[in-house]
Amino acid sequence: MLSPTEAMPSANPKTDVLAPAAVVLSMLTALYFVFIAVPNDAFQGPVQRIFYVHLSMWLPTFAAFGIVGVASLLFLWKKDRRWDHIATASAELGLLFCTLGLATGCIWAKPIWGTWWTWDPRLTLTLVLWMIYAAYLLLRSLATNPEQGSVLAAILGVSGVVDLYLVNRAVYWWRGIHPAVVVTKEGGSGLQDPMMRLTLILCMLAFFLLFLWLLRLRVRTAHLEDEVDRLRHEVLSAA
Amino acid sequence: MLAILWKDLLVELRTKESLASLFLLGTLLLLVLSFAFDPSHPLRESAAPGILWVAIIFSGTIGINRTLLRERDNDCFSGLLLAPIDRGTVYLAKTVVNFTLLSIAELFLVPLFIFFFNLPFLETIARLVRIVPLTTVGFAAIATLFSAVSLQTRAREVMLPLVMLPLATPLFLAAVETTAVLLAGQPVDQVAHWFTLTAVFDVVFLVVGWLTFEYAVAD
Amino acid sequence: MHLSFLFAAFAVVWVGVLVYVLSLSKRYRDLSADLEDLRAVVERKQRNQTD
Repeated sequence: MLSPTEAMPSANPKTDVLAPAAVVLSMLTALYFVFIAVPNDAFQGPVQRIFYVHLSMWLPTFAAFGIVGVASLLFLWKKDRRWDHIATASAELGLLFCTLGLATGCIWAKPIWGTWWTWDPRLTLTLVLWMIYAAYLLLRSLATNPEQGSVLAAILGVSGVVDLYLVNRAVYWWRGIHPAVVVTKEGGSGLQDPMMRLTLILCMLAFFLLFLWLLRLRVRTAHLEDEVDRLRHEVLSAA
Repeated sequence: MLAILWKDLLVELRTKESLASLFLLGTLLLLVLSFAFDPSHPLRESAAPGILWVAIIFSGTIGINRTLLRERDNDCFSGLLLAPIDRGTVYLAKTVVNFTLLSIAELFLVPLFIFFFNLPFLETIARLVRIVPLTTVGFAAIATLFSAVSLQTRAREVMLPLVMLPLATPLFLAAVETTAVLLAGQPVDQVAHWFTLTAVFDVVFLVVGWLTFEYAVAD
Repeated sequence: MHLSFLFAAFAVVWVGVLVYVLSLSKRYRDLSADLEDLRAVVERKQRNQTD
């Protein structure tokens, strides 16, 4: 009736060792570059180093949002629960990186712009994204039954990705009336130096690897959760 | 499809349940939001478009929650779904019903808004008629889909705004920005891009709703 | 100058990631334990049936 191998999908011992090793190694390299190798920014001083880690949050965040959208669509279409696991895992990690990105952004903005928060289009877009993810996870946990929760969450996941471009346009136009100097300043800041560029790339790579590794672990936890639910159901219905 | 439309509209017009609460809530919001600004202060004028839309959004959200809840209370919904109609069609019918209800409520709310803010009556109506219905289409489209979604959750009343409002950001930003420009009597082509955005939003969410509604209501 | 901000930003990131990893590993361990328990129950039942 039950085979033990069923419960532990995709546990490949080789990758299980190699993946964290790669993450730790790349992270240490990135930290070395961020704190020791790269020179101080001429205008912003040491605070500019926040930027490397801050910018590194966005690649995982947007990748996660994209994955949620695609996985949700595939789940609605194919009805395969594995797509649902990927979507939940991705949404959770996206929310994590989005939160960290917002937090580091605020901490950077306080000494440089003199305020924790501005209604700059990027910030606004990110906050809207954050709300969508948070609602996505809440919707899933508050559904009257988990199966239905997956489907409902998938609808939101698809809508979110479809909406992304429109939200982006809207917040840019919204602030566009008062041209924001800050946007160009943010994008162009400190990237002329090749060392800085290298540091940024290394840092982004390290955090993206971290994201992939966590995603893998989270997906596996979701499989496990599914398996436990199934077994529990079986035991209860047999009793 | 026409049958669903008729049935819902008839029920609504007879009981006037959602409609009355929708309208009263909108009035209340206009009132409360007016308290937030000193009537003699110029800030009030620049806040006017926002106040109008917040009143429409929040009363509309609650009103729309009612229409699907009623189906559920009377267990009509399962009956409706058993009927040999395409789910996409059910969605479109529901959207039309919600659009009509919202429009009727706006028919009362907008004059009240003009009255409270002491604006020129006919002129303001002529200006607002360009943007209000267009926004209401998008609002009805997204609210119908997500009220079906939130119906299947605990804490239904909270879920609808939580899920819908972030997604509707572009719609409401467009509505507020356009209303501000139109109320100031500036030319329409200044906000042409906002109109395009609203139209795109309407189409996108009508299509998304039409395609995914069946998953939201399936058991 | 402003070194405390630099420190705060990195602290936030690392504490955030760490808390997430810890909670994930706890979830994983709990689920594994549940799975073991359930397996034992199923096995016992099967043995009872064959006896």
